[in-house]
Amino acid sequence: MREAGRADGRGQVSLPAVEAAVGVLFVVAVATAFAFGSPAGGVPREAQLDAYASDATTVLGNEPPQHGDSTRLAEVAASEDAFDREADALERRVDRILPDNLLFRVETPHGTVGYARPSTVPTGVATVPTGSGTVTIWVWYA
Amino acid sequence: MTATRGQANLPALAVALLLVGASVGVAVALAGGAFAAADTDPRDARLASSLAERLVAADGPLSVRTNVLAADTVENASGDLCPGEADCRVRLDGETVAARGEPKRGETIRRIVLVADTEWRTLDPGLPGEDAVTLPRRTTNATVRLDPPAGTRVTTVRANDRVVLHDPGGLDGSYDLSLSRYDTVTLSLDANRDLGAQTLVVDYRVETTTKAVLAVTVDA
Repeated sequence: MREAGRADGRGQVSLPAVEAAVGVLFVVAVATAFAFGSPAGGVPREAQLDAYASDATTVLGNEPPQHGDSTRLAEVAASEDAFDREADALERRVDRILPDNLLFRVETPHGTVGYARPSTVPTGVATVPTGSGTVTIWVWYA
Repeated sequence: MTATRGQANLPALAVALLLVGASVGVAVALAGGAFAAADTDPRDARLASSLAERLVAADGPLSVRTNVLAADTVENASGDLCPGEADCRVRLDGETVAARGEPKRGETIRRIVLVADTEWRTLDPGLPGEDAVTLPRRTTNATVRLDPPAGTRVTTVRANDRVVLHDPGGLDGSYDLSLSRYDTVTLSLDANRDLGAQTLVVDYRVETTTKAVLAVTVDA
């Protein structure tokens, strides 16, 4: 190799340059870990969203119903008919309760109201058992 | 032979050292920034969320029940709510209701609450034939005022078939009732003869709630 190189008069890549390249690569790798690996401070987004979701369930769970049953959530979870009747009112009510920068989805044993749930953004969730099944609320930032 | 070789060792070494040195410098600066960002003092976030949790709890200083604040207590709230020595501010829909100091940075957590305003309403049902009256709203407290005509004894008052007042000698006067928030209540009277239209007047407590966002900022 060396003989051939000499024979062609070819320059050899300087060894310090190669070492430097490897060294820079290594240092950059470590620096990348710092850039991406450090936790963000403050109130975690999930904690805030979970608080919104659980507040919404508490408020709904304590509200008097439109027609029968003990609370609003119990009413929508009670039966297919009750859900069909109350779905629009429930959606309006949840929309009113939540701040404007949030989207939501409410799942009851007889159907869901709200928006399609995205899989790529942080989401807060709260579930509340009622007499006839579990009601789940998801919220996320619009 | 050696003269034809294009190797330049010393300048290459200098450039290499410069490169490595520069990248180490950048990396250290990045790491320093990351450490500074990670050291955000979790105290603020923790204090803010625990104070918010306390304010919305059922036995909180401003609460009627969980997530429901009483309008008159909110008006009288003061900075004493703040934990320890921290600067803090409690806002309800952007309006400051309580503050101590001036939190400049700090952390904010928001909760959804209802603000309840209570008033008493009077129902004078004029008792139709069946001696029963349904309250138009669900309520936890009601006062019945009984004033039966002379010679008539009201012995029992029932709320949804539950006996809430009973006196074989006759009820007359004003009585407080505790009712359930989860039921629509029908009050019915048992009497020894027909009651006049003026016998029963019911005062009941009505809650009007408005939704609001409670924002708690703490800068410890």
